Amino acid sequence: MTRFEEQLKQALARQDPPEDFNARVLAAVEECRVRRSTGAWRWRARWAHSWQLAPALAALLALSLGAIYQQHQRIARGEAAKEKLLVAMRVAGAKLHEARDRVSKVEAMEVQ
Amino acid sequence: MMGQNIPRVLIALAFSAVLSAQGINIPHNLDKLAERATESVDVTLDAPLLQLASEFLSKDNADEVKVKKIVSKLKGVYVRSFEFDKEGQYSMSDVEAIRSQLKAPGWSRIVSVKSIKGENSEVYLKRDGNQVAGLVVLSAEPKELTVVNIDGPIDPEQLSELSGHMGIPSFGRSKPKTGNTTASK
Amino acid sequence: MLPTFAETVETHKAMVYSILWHFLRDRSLAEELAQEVFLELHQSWKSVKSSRHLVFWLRRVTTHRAIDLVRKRKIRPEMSLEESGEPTALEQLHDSFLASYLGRMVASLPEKQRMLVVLRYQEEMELEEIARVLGMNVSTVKTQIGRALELLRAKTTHRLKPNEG
Repeated sequence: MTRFEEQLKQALARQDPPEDFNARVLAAVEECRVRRSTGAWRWRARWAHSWQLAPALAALLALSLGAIYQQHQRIARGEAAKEKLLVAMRVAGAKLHEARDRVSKVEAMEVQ
Repeated sequence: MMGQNIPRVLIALAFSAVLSAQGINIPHNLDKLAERATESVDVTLDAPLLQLASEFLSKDNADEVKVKKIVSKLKGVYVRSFEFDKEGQYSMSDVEAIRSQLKAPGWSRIVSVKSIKGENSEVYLKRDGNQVAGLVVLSAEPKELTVVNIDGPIDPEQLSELSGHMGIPSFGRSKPKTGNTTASK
Repeated sequence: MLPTFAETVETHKAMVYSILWHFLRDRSLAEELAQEVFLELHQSWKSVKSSRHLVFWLRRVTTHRAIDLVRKRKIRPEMSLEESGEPTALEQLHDSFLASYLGRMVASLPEKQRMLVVLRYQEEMELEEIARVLGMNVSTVKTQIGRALELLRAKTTHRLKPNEG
């Protein structure tokens, strides 16, 4: 390596992020987990900008609290089912890929 | 006497109807492995739940669009995956209880790889005429056991393509080389 | 056996953060993106097969995220090579300040060359590894790194020439 490349290496030496980085990552992971398990984020996102509908919503809520609650439950169940489905697909895809990879290695050894 | 047996018979028939709808039966003792596992995945999605889940898949996410297409005709998706912190936490009889069901007519084993490290992979397909009607992947490693059961028409190629997305880098097929085979893109 | 997620963050945070910092030259953006990378890792945790796979995964996702962000936001580097001011006398004299100057020069390279230099000299990766992470041809990697070094050398040498007249 040339002197210049050594200087470049020094210039690009790894640095640590701020001290609270780990804590913030773990907090973000936890927040993500809680959001997914309750589906609450979808509820907030859906209604966050609906202040103009508040009077109508109040009337609707008064008239059909049960229906809205059921809808909320359905959304929560649906989001949870979706997350489970994505996990299942990831695991299934990874395991299939692993099996294929192992077969490829065996075939490669046989060719040699 | 007869009166007492009838409810039991009905329960047994109902249970077996559920089992056959599921494709294969995941033994109850397998679920107990979760108590010993450091991490476990337990997914049971029958047709109604699959449909519900599918409604929530995003049209704007390319991966979720693919998943939606894959699951559109499925009857069920069942996954049990257990990771342990040491070897010997499950027995081969746990795996055999599933394997024995895959000797039934219609099922054929298309992949079976065993390594000296104790990493075993098996892939089974269920055929209905020329169509694939089910898929089972069994992966048994010293510290990990995974069973994937997909009931319904499935294209294994489409499924394994998902490993190239969803944040998981994909490796190309290993090409024969002199010396070690390595994954390459 | 894989470490826990928390251990993984501790072990690899410097690598992920530094790739982003040297590439983006914006500490808060580097931190934000580093967090997102680890969040994505947590979501894909089940698919991680080995420690080696883990490092590959982190490098790959980090580099792709960084390049995508720059393209999406059309982030301009802090300064272009042409606009870069004279290094101060201190920078010329002291290697540690030269390091800072060099870091800024790297950040002003075109994005692909920039990432190649970071992976080669920060991560000390072999050309084949870099090619796999970035999905490029090995010969292209070699050529582009060569060009990046020439560019950096030319500008740095020019700036560090003693003043004439």
